[in-house]
Amino acid sequence: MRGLLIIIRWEISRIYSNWRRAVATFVIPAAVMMVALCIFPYLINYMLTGSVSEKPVTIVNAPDTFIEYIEQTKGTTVYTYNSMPEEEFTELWESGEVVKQLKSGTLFVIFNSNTHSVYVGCNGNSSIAVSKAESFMEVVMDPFNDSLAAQGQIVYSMDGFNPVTKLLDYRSGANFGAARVIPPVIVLLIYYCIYSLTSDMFASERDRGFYDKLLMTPVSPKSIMLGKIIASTILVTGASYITFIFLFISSWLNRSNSSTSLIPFGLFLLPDQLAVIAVVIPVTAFLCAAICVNIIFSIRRMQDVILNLQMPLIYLMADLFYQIFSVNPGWLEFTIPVHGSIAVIKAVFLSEYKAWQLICLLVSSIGFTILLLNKTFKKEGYNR
Amino acid sequence: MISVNDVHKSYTRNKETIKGVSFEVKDGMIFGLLGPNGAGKTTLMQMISTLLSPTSGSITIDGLNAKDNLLEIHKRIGYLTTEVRLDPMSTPDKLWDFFGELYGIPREQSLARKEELFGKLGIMPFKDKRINELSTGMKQKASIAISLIHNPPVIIFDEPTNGLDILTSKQVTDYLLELKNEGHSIILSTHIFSVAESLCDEIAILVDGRIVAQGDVESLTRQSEAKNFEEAFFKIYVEHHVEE
Repeated sequence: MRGLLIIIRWEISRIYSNWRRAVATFVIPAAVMMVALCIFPYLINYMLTGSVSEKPVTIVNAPDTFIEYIEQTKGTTVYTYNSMPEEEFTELWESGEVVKQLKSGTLFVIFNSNTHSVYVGCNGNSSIAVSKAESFMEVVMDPFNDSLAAQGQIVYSMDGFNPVTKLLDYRSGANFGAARVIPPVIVLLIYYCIYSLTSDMFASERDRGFYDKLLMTPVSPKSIMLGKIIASTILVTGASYITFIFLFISSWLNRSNSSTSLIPFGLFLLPDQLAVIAVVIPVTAFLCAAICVNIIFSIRRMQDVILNLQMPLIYLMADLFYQIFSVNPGWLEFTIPVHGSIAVIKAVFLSEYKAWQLICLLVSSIGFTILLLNKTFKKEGYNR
Repeated sequence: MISVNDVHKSYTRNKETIKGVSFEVKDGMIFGLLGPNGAGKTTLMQMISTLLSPTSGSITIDGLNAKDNLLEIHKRIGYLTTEVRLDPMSTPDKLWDFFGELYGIPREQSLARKEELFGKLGIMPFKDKRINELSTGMKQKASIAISLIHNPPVIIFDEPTNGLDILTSKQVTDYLLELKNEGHSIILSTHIFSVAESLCDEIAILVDGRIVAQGDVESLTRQSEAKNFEEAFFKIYVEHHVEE
């Protein structure tokens, strides 16, 4: 036990005593996540519409009341507007330009003064364009119509953000949006950090011969290995909590309500929900460390070790894409190590979390971790 | 005392790296393992240091075997190889404190020993410099000091002067002689004849995983009817080496 604690303290102090290592461990993962979450919507936008930037909304035949409304609400939403009369739109339609612009992500909002109806046109093949249209109707058209219905034609008031009445509305929307992306990205980051730490603590040290020097001390080999695994788990858990705090700050600083934002405004979790995530992160980190150590001690050549350590990253990237398009995780998903962690965090974000899900995850993750560690101990002759 | 009895080691089923090696090293003696690259010197040293387990045979340190007394043996062994590269971002001073804790040496005793050993090896001027800022010789000295932190009765040095300049090399060999005179048992592997001749009380010549000749420098030279030890080594090697 004494040896275990010395190793843990040493490994953690190695990170703290060097600012480059500390930044690489604690700040870079959070920064990478923020950058990824900001870039990803643009990437998806480009893949679906061929356009990186958000296109302005083109309004056709808009009544004066609407023009005044958007003038007054300027700056409170992400939308910018192009306005045109019906004749100009007809010309564009005939030239095929409208279809072209729709495909590149432009929304068309067409007012029909005869029927008092509004048609919002978007590219139905693009989920981003559809969600942007839905968001536009929710954020712009509904308040506009409400104000018209309640106050007459011109006089209306802007429904500003009220933290008391609107918080839970925003929260449900924000959490649902974030549930698709944040859980797999968090787990991906956990693995990435564990991978870089364990490759330094085990693979590089073994390559340098320093690991053998540790094995020659009167501390049991199991304690040395476990000490390093626990140290990497503690460091990565700390880094993941910091990332999570970054995430929440970003969410609350993001006032745009853009439908394409992956960290929408108002991300909100209750203390018991946060506690579940706080448990899942170290369990996942410990499991990832056991996976990495097993890979490192199965292979001798340094280049092969690095290559094989990157293989789970490919799996986690694939899982990230799967999570974007999947909705509620099935019960079996909670029993799959690593993937189960994503499923539990996702269930928490969706407010679908049940205690049995966490129990399934803990049993499968801890069981798999023990299995992997025993296999590694046996292979290295640490059980003798 | 170190006792190696009929030790075999195979990494693969069909090929033995060490083929039935036996020898004894008494207290206050330097035992040299001499052989070409691939002869099995490092494998043998690692087995004595408990880093590898023999496929068959036994190795005991002061009557203790690794299977039953691993940690006790670690307290009695200091193992050093030139292949060891210390943590590049640490300093000799920090590493000393870390290893002192691992060996369970009381703080005051550790500080006194640090003073003594750092002074003897000339580490004091660079004890607070990072390892990656040190020269090869400085790193090697730091590595030697840390290996001997617990003043072990048994010292195993794999190529102790490899890659060192002549001044540092002399410092290391002088220190080894001092340790020998203090009663430590030392096994060292080398392929430098002058080191073997000047340091070793007994030398075993290892060829293809077997000890093919053993004795002091004079007896080995005499038995081979050679003019000097270097010629004796080559004669013995040619006689016993089998091309695969």
